[in-house]
Amino acid sequence: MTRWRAAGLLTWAITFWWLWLSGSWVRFVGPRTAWIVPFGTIVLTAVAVGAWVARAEGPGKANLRGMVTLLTFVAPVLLLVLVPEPRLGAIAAANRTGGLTAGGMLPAPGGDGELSLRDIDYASTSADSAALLGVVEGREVELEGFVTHPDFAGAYALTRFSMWCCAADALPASVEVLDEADFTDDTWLRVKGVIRRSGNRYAIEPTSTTRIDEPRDPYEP
Amino acid sequence: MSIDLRAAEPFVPSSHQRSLRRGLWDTERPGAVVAGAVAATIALAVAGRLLGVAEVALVQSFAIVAVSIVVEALPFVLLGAIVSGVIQVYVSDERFDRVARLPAALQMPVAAVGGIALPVCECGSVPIARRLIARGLHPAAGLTFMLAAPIVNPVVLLSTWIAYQGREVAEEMVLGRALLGLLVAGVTGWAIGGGRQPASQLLREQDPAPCSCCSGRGKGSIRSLADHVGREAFYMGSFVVVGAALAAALQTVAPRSLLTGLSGDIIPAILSLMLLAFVLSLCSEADAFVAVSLVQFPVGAQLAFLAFGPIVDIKLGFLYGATFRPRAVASIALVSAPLVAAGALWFQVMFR
Repeated sequence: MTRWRAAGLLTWAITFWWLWLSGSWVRFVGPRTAWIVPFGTIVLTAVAVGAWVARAEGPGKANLRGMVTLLTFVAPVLLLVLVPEPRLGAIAAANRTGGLTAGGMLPAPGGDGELSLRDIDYASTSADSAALLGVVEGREVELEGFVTHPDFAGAYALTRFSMWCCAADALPASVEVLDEADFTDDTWLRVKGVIRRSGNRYAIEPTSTTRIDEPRDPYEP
Repeated sequence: MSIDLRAAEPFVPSSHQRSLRRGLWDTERPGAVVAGAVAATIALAVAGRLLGVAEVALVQSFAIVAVSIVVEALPFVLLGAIVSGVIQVYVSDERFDRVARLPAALQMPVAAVGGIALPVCECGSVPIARRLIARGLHPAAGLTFMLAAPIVNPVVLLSTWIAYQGREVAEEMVLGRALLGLLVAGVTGWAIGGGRQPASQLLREQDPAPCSCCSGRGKGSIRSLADHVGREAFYMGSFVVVGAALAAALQTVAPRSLLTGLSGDIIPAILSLMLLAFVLSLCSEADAFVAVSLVQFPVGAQLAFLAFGPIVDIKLGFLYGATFRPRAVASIALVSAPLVAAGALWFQVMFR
C-alpha cells in the first residue's frame, strides 16, 4: 500500500497547490487562517515526496481495506472535482440564522468608513450599534450580495456571508431591499440606494439594481 | 492396517483457504481492487455531473463545509504526524525509560505544560499523544498532554486575546481558557489513564505506523521518518475526513437555531454552546473569533465553547476512535463535559 498511500498524499498536495495558486482557497478558509494554505501546501508536498521515496521499503500490494482508506482520504478532493465551486447560498443562510448575527464578528468601526451588509444588519439590533456604525436614515450605500427571501423581508433581502475561520463558521448578514421587482434566490446583485427604516430594522431603498457575477471572494471583507 | 503419520505430508492450505482465513478486507488482489475502486469513482463522478448534483444547494453547502474543515485540519494532522515520527524514530528507549520511571504525579504537570512548547491544534496532539503513550509515558500524562496542548499553546491563547480585544474581557477569557483547559485536561487524563492498566488497554491494537526497523534505537533514518509520517498522516487524515463529513452533514440539514436557541439562562446557554462547538468542529487556533461573534450568549457560555471544542467535537471523536479503545473515547467525553460546564458556570458567576 505504500505507493498508493504516497499517491493519496500527493493528490492532496496537488489540491493544496491548486487552492493556493488559483486563489480558490478564499471560498474555504477565512482571512485570519489564510496562512494554513501555503503552510499546508509546503508540508503536504514534503510529506508526499517523503512517502514516495520511502515506498520501496514497505509491501507494495493493495488490499480492499487499504483502497477504502485511500478513497476516504481523497474523498474531499473527489468532491471538489464533482463540485468545483461550492458556495453557501440562500438555503445555508436560512439555516444559519436564529439568534446569531455576523455583526458581532468584528469590532465596530468608527462609523466613517463604507457600510457593509453586516454593519446595516447589526445596526438593526440596537440604537447604540446603529450610532456607533454610522447607520442613519438617508445615508447612501452601494452593496453587493445575493438574493434571499427571509421572513422579515417583503420583496427580497440582500445577503452576504462573513467568515472568520472557515466556511463551517460563516454567518449571513441580510438587509431588506424595498424594491418592487423580485429576483430568484442566489442571484447576485449590486444595489445602490438609501438607508430607510422598515419596521424595527434598517432596509435599503434602491435607486439602481444590477445583476452581477458572483465575486471571486463571495464573503464580506 | 496401521498408518505411519511420520510419513504424511504436512498440510498446506490452498490459496482459497488462505483467502477465507484472512477475509475480504485483507486479501491482496491489487488488479481487481484498484480497477473496481477506480471504476466506481468514475461512475459516481459521471453520474453526479449528468444528474446536475453539483447544482443542488444542499450538496453545495455540504461540499464547502466538509472541504473547509479538512483543509484547515489536514496541515495540523501532518504536523502531529511529523512530531510523532520524530519521537518514534529518533528518541531512544533509554530516554523514555527514564521518563517512564518518574511517578505520574510528576509526569502529568510536565505533560500539561509541554503543550506550550508544541503549538499544535487538537488534530496534531492526538498522534503525538499516541506515540508518547506507546513509548512508555504514563497514560494519564499522555492524555493530559493531548487535551491541554490545543488550549494552552501560545498561538491559541494569542488568538483568543486578539479576538476579545475591545470587549473588555480579553485577559479574563485568556486566563479562563488556559486554566479551565489545564484543569479539565489534568482531571480527565487522571480519571481515564491514572489506574494501573497498561497502555495496551487504552490504545487500539492497530498502530498506524508500526516499525520494527528503527524503534528503540533512536538512530532512525530520514527514510524511516518519512515512512512513519506518511503512514500516520494517511491513517489519521482518513478519520478527519469522516468526521468532517459528518459535521458538514449536520450543519447542512440541521438549522443552527436548534443549537443556539437557548441564549437566555446561563446553564442552557452553556450547554447550547458546548453542543455547537461539538458540531462545528473548528480548529482551536481560530475558534475564538467565532466565540466572540456569539454576542447573544454570556461570556461563561462562550468560555464553555472555547474549552469544550478542542477537547471533544465530531472530528476529534473519529480521531480518538482511531487511537483509543471505545471505552476510553466515551470516557473523554463523559468526564470532560461536566467539568467544562461547571468551570464555565463558576467563571460566569465569579467574573460577571
